[in-house]
Amino acid sequence: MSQLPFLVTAWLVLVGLVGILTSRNLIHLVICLSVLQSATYVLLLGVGFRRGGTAPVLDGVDPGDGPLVDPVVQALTVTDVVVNAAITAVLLAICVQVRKRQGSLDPDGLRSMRG
Amino acid sequence: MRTRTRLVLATLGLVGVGVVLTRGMLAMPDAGRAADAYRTLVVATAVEDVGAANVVSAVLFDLRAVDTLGEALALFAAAAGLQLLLRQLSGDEDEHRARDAASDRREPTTSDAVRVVALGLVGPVVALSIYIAVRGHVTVGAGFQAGALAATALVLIYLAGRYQAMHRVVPEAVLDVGEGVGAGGAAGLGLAGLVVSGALFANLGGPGTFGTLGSAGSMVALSVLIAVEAAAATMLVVTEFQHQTLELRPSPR
Repeated sequence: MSQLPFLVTAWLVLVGLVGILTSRNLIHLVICLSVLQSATYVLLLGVGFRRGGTAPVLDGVDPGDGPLVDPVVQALTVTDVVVNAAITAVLLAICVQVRKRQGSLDPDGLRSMRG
Repeated sequence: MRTRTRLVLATLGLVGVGVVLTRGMLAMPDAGRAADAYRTLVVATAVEDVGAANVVSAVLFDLRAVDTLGEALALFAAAAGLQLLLRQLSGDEDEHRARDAASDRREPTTSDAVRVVALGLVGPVVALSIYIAVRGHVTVGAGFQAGALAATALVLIYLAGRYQAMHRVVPEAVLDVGEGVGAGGAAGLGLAGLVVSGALFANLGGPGTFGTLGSAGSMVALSVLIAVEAAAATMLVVTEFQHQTLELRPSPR
């Protein structure tokens, strides 16, 4: 079972891709992209996981007490979550504009871009 | 391209990606037994040089603070991009705005239970967000989490049905200033480190007493600035979307 986080990562990537490819609604598509991106959280945390380790917050814990899980990948995950939020916000704004301009959220029903 | 052809091509591609990805993931070193030389160094540096008990925060706001500045600027750019994307364009003034079709109906009121709970939570949530922002170096949480919490407080006011009050409490001009102060202050703090100690985002102020509020030097200031930036950017995003969904109602005379 030691590869479980990495297999979950692969699964999330594939499920997200299937969702994006078969999406009939732009908002659904944005959510699928979020699912796809959440694979990176699982991957990062899986890389930093340490069996029997505690959280890297030494609040009343002596650093010599036992193993800690990797703090660097956890910090990278925080960055990842923030970037995901920023991207989702901008993409949803684009959805709003598409709906206004084209009257539809179906990616197949969109006419080509106009100036 | 026809839907069917596209589906066949997509399936082929997905199977390829799936095989490569699964093989690659199976070849990863076992989760939980990875090498830990770098981790040991980071923990030692965070404890001895930075003086932060929360090593994740030490990485975010000291050791890799340049990344965090980039992250704050990404939030800044997202909020700015949203204002650009959702601005009122000429031509969509009348035809595309949602219009209230039954302007004479009674305004739906928020239930008292929701209102009491939501408004009652605003104070504690703001207090918690300040607590998390200034104590991110000692215990869990730090700038970004605090910013998200502060934005939650704003959304709670909205949830209580106080849309107008929400804008009185935090007008957009304040949010714009907050965003500028947060992002600009974080960059300024980094440059101050460059001037004083010769390294970008060098920690100003000693490690202090480990585990106390005064420890970790200027890392705390960066955490607070990032909290301001994250809160302002998130609130701007929320208000920007709310402008879109408002129905136009003829003002009561």
